[in-house]
Amino acid sequence: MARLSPRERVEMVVNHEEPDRVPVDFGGMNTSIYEMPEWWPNKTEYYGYKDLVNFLGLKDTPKPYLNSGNCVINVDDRILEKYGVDFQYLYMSMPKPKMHPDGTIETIYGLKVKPVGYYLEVYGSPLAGKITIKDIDDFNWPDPEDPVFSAKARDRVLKMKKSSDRVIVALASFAEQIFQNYAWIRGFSQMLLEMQRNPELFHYLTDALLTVEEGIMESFYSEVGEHIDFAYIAEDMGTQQSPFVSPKQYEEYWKPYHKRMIEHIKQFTDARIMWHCCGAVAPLIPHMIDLGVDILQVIQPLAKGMDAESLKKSFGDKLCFEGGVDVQRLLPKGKPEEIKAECKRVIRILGKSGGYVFAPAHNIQPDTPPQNVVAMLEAGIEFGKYPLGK
Amino acid sequence: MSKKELLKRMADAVVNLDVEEAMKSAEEALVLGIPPLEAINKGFTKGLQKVGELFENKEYFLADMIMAAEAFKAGMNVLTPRLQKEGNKKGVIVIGTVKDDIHDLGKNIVTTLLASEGYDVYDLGIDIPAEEFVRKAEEVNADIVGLSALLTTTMERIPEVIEALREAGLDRVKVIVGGRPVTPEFAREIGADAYCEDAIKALETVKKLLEG
Repeated sequence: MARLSPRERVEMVVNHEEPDRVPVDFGGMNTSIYEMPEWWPNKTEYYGYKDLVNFLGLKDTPKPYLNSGNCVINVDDRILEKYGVDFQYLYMSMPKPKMHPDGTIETIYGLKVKPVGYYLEVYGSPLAGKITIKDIDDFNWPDPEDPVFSAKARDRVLKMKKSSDRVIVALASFAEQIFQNYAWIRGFSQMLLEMQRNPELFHYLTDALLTVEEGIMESFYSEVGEHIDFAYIAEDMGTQQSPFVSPKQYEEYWKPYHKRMIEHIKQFTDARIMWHCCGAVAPLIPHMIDLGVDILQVIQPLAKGMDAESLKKSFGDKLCFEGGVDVQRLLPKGKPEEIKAECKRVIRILGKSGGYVFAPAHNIQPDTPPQNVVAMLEAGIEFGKYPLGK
Repeated sequence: MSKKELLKRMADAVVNLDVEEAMKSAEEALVLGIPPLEAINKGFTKGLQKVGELFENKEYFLADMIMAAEAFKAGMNVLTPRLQKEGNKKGVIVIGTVKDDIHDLGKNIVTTLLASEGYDVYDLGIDIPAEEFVRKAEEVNADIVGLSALLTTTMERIPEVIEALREAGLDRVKVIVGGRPVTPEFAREIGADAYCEDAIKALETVKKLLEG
């Protein structure tokens, strides 16, 4: 087979064809590696990007930039080249967080976050307790027309296209967009209760949230839409055991908003849809297929029903999966040989007839030694060539 | 309607996530003269147990757990004013989610369940530092302190509370722990008195610890 570009390779697997090798994602949104910010209080022991760079013996690595999840967004290109990474991620710029004198940080939507352990955690919901429609109307919503959202976006995407032929995935958010924000703004239990006990308020707030996000997405996608390959949506919907809501409840309360969001994005770009969804969400996958999701990211193997075999069997020909390499137990605690063997197994199952992008199920956690990360990355190129062996 | 039928109706109200039915059946239980504590134990609590099973079997989801707790609480609110506050306390429990952790879904169900059984429960809420647990335990002469943590990073706070209780001379206070990342092994390692997998287990544990 002639040498394929990343775009051709990824397009083939999304179309359930076998290209030259299984595409690889690493260093992207939710497929990257932890690094502790310099300003972090209470520094504790951890493994991070710097350890990986040292382990690989790389010198003069660009200073790492971190996203809101303390993961590196500019992994050294030499690492991406060496391990055949096919994706690059375009992040939307965000309003600067407010720093309060007591050390708390306030981000978009008035969410207060503070360092807990290794990550910034949200605490205190700005719209908690008893509220009315008026409180929602009076809420200090972000301004979708704020020029920060589209700032230099076109320049950046054109620069990306010029310097690399990797597939471009664009992300119009700092994290998740509808229900995670609802949970943070209002309270998680409150969201689930409201959905069932006060649907009028639930729909009003969800609509208000999505309307703001639609404005932001318009600002961003208008600038970059024609240059990107994938639009990224992050909407976690499950615990380690099961979805947050039943498939019926999903269809009634949440799906219409996801449908609306995807249709809105498609007004500004022909890009495919990559959907990030943590948790045991197999019962909701038929709905995601119905919504026209092209790549489903995460495939958290320790979550119930998210093992490679059953997913490939039930949905293998209808959806392209990305992830499937366990970051909860295998990568931190396994030995390199075990990791390679498991990566080989997952590639063999999920990669059959295309429909799979090799990636960690989520970001590499701060208890993962660098040799384990390298074992995973090596396995990707070692076992990813088509036709896949036995 | 017989007592047996009404108790089943109360249990079903919780299983069916029916807040109004829970309240109605509670009112009828009072009319029928069923002692409130018995109505709660044999009616609503049975319903909550069934909901727990349905959740384990993947038939019920998180959203259903929350509704079940709402129905349970609503029914309880009809009955608790009638619960006789006997002079002899059954037991005093201080409960909360540890520092930096804001999760409380499970803890709230435990609080509701323990209160329904007639225990004096002081729910401190979320993001509670060790000193506050100690202070409250001293103030109310707690028999048990219950600690909830939902993050692997905040789990580390649990042994801090145990240590603080020890330093304050509150060794006699029993400590029970729970939350998704918490395991029986972890509980053993850090010297907790019991690990409680869910609200029903928490109730059984408290009963065993206080009543033998």
